[in-house]
Amino acid sequence: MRVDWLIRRAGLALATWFVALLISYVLFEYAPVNPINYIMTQLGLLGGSGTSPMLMSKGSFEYIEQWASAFMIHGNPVLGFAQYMVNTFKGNWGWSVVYGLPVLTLIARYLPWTLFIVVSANLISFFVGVYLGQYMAYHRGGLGDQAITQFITVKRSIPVYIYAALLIYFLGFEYHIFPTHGAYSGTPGFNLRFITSVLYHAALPIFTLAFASFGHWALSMRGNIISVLGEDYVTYAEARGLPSSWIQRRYVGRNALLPLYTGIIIALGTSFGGAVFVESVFSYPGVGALLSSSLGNGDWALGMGILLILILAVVLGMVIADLTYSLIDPRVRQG
Amino acid sequence: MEISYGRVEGILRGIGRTLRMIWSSKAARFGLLVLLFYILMAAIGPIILPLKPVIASSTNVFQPPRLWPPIYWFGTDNVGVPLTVDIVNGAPFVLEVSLLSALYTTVLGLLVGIVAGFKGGYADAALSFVSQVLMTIPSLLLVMIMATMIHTNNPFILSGILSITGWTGLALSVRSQILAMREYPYIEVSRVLGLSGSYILFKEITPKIMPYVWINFILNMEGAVYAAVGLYFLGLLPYQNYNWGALINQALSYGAYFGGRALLILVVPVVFVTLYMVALIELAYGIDEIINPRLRK
Repeated sequence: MRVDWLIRRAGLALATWFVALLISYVLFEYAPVNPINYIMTQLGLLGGSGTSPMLMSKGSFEYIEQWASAFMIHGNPVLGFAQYMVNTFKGNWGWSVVYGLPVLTLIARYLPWTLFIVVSANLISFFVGVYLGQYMAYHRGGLGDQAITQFITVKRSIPVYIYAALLIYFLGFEYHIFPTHGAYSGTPGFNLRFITSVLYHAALPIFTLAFASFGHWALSMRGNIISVLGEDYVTYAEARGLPSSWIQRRYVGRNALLPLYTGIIIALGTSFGGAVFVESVFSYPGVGALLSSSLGNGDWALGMGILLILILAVVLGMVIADLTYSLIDPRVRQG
Repeated sequence: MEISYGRVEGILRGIGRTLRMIWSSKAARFGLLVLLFYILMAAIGPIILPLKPVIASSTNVFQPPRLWPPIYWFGTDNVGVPLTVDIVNGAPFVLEVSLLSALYTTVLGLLVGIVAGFKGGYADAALSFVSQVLMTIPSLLLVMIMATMIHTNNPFILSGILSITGWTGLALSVRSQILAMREYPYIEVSRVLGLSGSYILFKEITPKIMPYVWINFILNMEGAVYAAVGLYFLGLLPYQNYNWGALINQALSYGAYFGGRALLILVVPVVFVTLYMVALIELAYGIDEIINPRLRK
């Protein structure tokens, strides 16, 4: 295990988390739309007309204090930021003004759905991409390879929300083949009906996310295989008369796969961005749709909390990927 | 500074050569022509077809396409404005934001990459670390929050927000290319000859990485359109009915109620966004094909 490399990666993870907190603190303190002023206006405390009924029903000053306790730190910005970090660490991420609940409670309720669709979509797109890349590399220059390459080039330039919009318009609204909102129907429970309804509702969001991202894997796998095929050990394996399927799987495939492994985490981060669009379009109850609606409603604490939790997910994923990389790449183990 | 006739001629010849090279690739030719069409549309379109306030009534909303006059070719939208007028007036925003963001990210990425690669030492370590940290943060999510908080339609500011993390990829690759190039024999020769650092940088190294920088520029244009139209699609920026992203969003909410009547409001902006992005990608791919001999057929 290369210890210095791991330490550097861990340092990068910590620094990323620190920068994320810093950005969120700076935005809270110095953004033109100051969240505290915004909420005071909504409450009618600073003048202005629009008043959220939800807040009026709860309209006690204690409630605002509770809401703002994580952020309302005046005076020295350095001390303020330190206080903010401590609050975040202790689990005080502020309150949602729209739902009237702690941000972390809401995130805990919505995050599993997002992880479900994002992780399954990435697994599907990874495997489809890898197999497609293999096919393209062994048939390179052929009609299939050229057609798929051109298809992927055009496909990757189309934004994910356009796929989502077209799919829900035609398969949802026009032909009623797939559901247009929600994550399940009926009552939750561990039975076949519930599970099929969950899969049925998740089918279009997962397909959209996977369809938008598999091309990248296919093209990188194709490139990696072609460069591995030129290695001496492949020629040697061929000269020893090993069956070609054996060489393709154990010699070429495995080595071509290694560079893709660390890319999974970056892809996960991109997918979280895509999930905001996909969940909003399909009204899927994940943090992505929650982020979009919270930003639209000026629910800054919730929006920022979701940003932080997704960055945390990416950072943790990065650490896990680094730690497990030695399992698939024996070269790192001794190093 | 006086510009001599010969110099102008040299620049013109250079442009001509570049255009001929782009013309030689089918993908790049397609991308360039479509891009020109969009630039024309954004430059002249709003003058010919200005946005006029209309009185919305049930008779002129969701009109099907009509052959005459030509502005009704795509029918009318949900407030009765011909869809052609919406599309044409939404075009300048898309082009401005994509060009400006690409400009910001390219200049910043090039600057950071050159400084990190050329200076080395602590500057390199610090800049690379910052680039890597920003690269790990899912940029789209950060952009969404910042754009919503700052809440502006101004393309200059919006592009600045959109390029907040976009420059990191270019910076890191320019840095590594410069690091590799510093060891090349011809650079070593220049150093031995006593040529100044800035001469080596601008005359020997920069021209070699420029094609790559241009590809990156175009890809960043594409990324900016993705994010900017997406922000309007989610309704997070000040509402403009004629924005392409807002139109797609509108189509979905009307499609849910009225079914097929909103079809054109969905399909037409989708086609325009898609064509623009495909053109950019094909242009980048074509330039890659021209400068990378391995991709040539």
